[in-house]
Amino acid sequence: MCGCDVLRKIAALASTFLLMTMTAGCWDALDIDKRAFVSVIGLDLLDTDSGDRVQVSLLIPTLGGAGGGGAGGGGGAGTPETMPAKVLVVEESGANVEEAVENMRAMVGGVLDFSTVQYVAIGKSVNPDDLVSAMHTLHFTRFIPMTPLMFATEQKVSDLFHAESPSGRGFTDTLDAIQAQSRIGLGHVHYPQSWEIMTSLVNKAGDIALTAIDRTDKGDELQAVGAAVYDGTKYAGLVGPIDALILYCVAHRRYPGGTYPFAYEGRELLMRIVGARTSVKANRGGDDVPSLTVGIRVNAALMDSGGYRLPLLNRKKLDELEQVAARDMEDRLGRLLERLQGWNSDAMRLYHEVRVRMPEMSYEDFKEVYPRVEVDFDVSVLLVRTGLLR
Amino acid sequence: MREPYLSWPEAAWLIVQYSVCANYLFMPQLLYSISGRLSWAVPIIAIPPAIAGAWAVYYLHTRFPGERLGQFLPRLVGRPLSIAIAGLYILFWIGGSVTNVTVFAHYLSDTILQFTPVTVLVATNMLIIVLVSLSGLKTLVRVNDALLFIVAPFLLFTWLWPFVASRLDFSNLLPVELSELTSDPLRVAMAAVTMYHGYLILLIAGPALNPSGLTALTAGALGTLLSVFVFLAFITMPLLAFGWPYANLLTYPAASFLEVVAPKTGLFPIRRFDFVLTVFFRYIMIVAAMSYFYSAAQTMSDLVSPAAKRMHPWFVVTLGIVLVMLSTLFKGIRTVMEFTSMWVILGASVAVMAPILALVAFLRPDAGHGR
Repeated sequence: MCGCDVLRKIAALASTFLLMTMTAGCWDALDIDKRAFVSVIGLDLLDTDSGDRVQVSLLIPTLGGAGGGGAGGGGGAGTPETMPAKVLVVEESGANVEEAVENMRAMVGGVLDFSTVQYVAIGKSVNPDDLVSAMHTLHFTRFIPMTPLMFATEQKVSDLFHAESPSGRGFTDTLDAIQAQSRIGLGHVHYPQSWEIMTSLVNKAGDIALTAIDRTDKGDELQAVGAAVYDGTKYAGLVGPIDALILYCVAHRRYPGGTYPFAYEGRELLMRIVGARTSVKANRGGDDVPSLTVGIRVNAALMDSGGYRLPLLNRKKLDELEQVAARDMEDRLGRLLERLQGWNSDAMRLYHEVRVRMPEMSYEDFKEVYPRVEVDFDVSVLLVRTGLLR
Repeated sequence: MREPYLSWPEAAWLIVQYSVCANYLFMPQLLYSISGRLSWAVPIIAIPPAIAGAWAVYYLHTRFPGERLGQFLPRLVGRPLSIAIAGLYILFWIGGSVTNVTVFAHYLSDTILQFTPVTVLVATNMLIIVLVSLSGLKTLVRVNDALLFIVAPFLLFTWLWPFVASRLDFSNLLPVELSELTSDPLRVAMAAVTMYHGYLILLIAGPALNPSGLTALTAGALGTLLSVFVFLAFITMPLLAFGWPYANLLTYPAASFLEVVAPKTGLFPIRRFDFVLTVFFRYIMIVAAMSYFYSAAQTMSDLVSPAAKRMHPWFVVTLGIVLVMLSTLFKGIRTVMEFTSMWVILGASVAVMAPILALVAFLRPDAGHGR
C-alpha cells in the first residue's frame, strides 16, 4: 500500500513536469514551407490621387536560396557561388501598415511570419506621423520582435530591396557585413534596435540618427553613405561618414568607434578609435537657455604613421598627435553641431541631460531654444602606436 | 495529526512564487497607469502593510496551529459571517487563479503560440493545476521546491545581465515627482496592500509547517522581503530600459524588458532568449495558479466538510472546468486587465481582513476552543 502511494506520487510528479513542458499548445500547425518568413520590412510614402498612403515592402527569403535556408536567420558562414540568395519582394500600400499587410496576405501563399524580422528600413519620404504609428502597429499587433535593426535610405526602399549582390550574398548578410567592416573601417555604421528608436521618439529625450544605406554600382550594390538625422520624426538631413562616427560617439555616450582621419603638418593621418566615452553636463545658462559641456574620452591607435618615424620609447610625437587629433575632433564637432542646429535636430541627444537638470523645460521648449544652445566640446585622446611594441 | 512536511525555506519560496506569479505580467502596467514614473516606489511603500499582514497570519496560525482558514473561521466569527469572509477569500483566490492562467495564455497567444486558441492554452494549464490539486498540497510544495533550481538561476540572470549589457539608464527615473503618487491615492494604497499577498497561503499551508509556530512568521517575513526585491526588479527595470512614457505603452512591460535585454541567440526557431525565459515563468505562473486554485478549493471543501481528510476529486475537476469556462468571459487582454483592477480591490480586502481576523482572535481568547 505504502509502495503504491510512493509510485503514485512519482507518477504525479513526472506527469506534471511532462505536461508543463509538453503541453505548450500546438494548434493549426503550419509546416515551414507554408510560412513566409519576413526578414526585412520597408516603409515608404506613396503619393497618390487619394492622398498619401503608406507603402510596405517585405523582403522574404525563399527556399532554394541561401537566404531562404536561413529564413532570415542572420546569415551563415557565406554563400556558395552556385547558390545565389533568392528573395521575394512584396509591396503593397494602404491607409496604414495594417491595411497594407492585409492586402499583402492574398499575394503570398501561406502565412506571413514576422517573428524573424531582422531589419526595418525607412524611406526618406516617410511621413513623421506615419513612422510612429507604423512602428506602434509593428510592435503591438503583428507579433514582431522589438529588436529588429533600423536604417534609413535616401532612395525608395523597395528599389533598395531589389539590389542583387554579384557575389550572391543575401541582402541582410550585406547589411551585416557593412556594419562589421565599418568597425574596422570608418565606424559610422550603427543600426539601432527598433525599440530604441521608439524610446527616443515617444519619450522625446532627443532626436534620432539612422545609418543611411543607398544603392551603388559597386561591390555588393549597397553602401552606407552616412547618417540620416531627424527633427522629431521628420527627416532633417544627411551627414557624411566621418561626421556620423563622431555623432554616434556623442549620441550613444559609449561607442565602439571606427577610423578617424586627421591632418598634421600637411600629412593625412588615421587613428582607429577602439572606444569612446562621452559625458554630457547640462547647466542653466542665461535667458533660460541651457549651456552644455560635452566631454569625450577617446582611446585610439595610430594606424598609419604617415611617414613619421615614431620612436619606440619617446612619446613626444604621440603626445603632439593626441592634441592635434583632439582639437580636430572638437572643431569637427563644433561644425557638426552648427549643422544640426540649422536643421533643429538634437541628434546628439543633448536634451537627455537637460531634461534632468531643467525638468521644467519640455522637449518642445528645448527645441525652440536649441539653435541658441552653447556647447563646449572637450575631447581628450589617448593615442598609442600600432605594431608589436607600443 | 497531519504530516508536517513544509520547512520555512520551502514556505518562503512558495510565498515568493505566490506573490510574483503572473503579477510580473500585469502589475507593472497596472502600477504605471496608477502612479506613473514613480511606480517603482510602490513596492517599497507596500512593505509595512505586508509585514503587518504576515504577522496577523502568524498570529492566527499560533492560535489555530493545526487548522486551515475554512476550519477555524466558523468558530472565530460564527457560521454566517464565516461564509461571507471565506467567500471573499475564495473569490480572491479563484480570481487569482483565472487571472494568472488567462494572462499567461494571452501572452503566449500574442507571442509564441499565435494560432492556438486562448481557451486551449487555458485548458492545458488548468489540466496541470487540477492534476496537482488532486495529488494534494504536498505535491504542490514538491513541485515548487523543484522549480527553485530551474527558475532561480534564470531570474538572477535576467536581473544581473542588464547591468552588464549597459541597457539601463537610471536618469529615466527622474524627475521624481511625488504628485504622481498622490494623484490617485486610493488606488495606490490598494495596489500597495495587495501586492505582497503571498503570506496568505499560510492560512491553508500553515498546518503542514515544520515546526509550527514561529516558522510561520519567519517564512512570511522572508518570503515577503524576497518578493520586494522581485517586484522592484519587474517594475523598475522596464522603466530603466524603456524610459517614460514609452514603458507605459507596452502591454507586458516586464516581458518586453526581458526581450530587449536578453542576449542574442542564433538558435532558430528559438531566436529569442525571452521565449526560453517565458517557459520558466510559465512554471512560476502555474505554481501560483495552483496555489490559488488549491486555496479556493480547500477552503470551500473545509467550509462544507471541515473534517474531510481530502477534497472530493470530482469537486476539484468540476471547479477546474468552471474556471476554464469563466476564462472564456475574458475577450482579449484588455478585459483581463480591467478584471485585474477589480481583483486588486478584492486583494486589498482580503489583505486587510487578515489583521482584522487576528484582532478578533486576540479579543476572543475562547474562540480557539470547541473543535
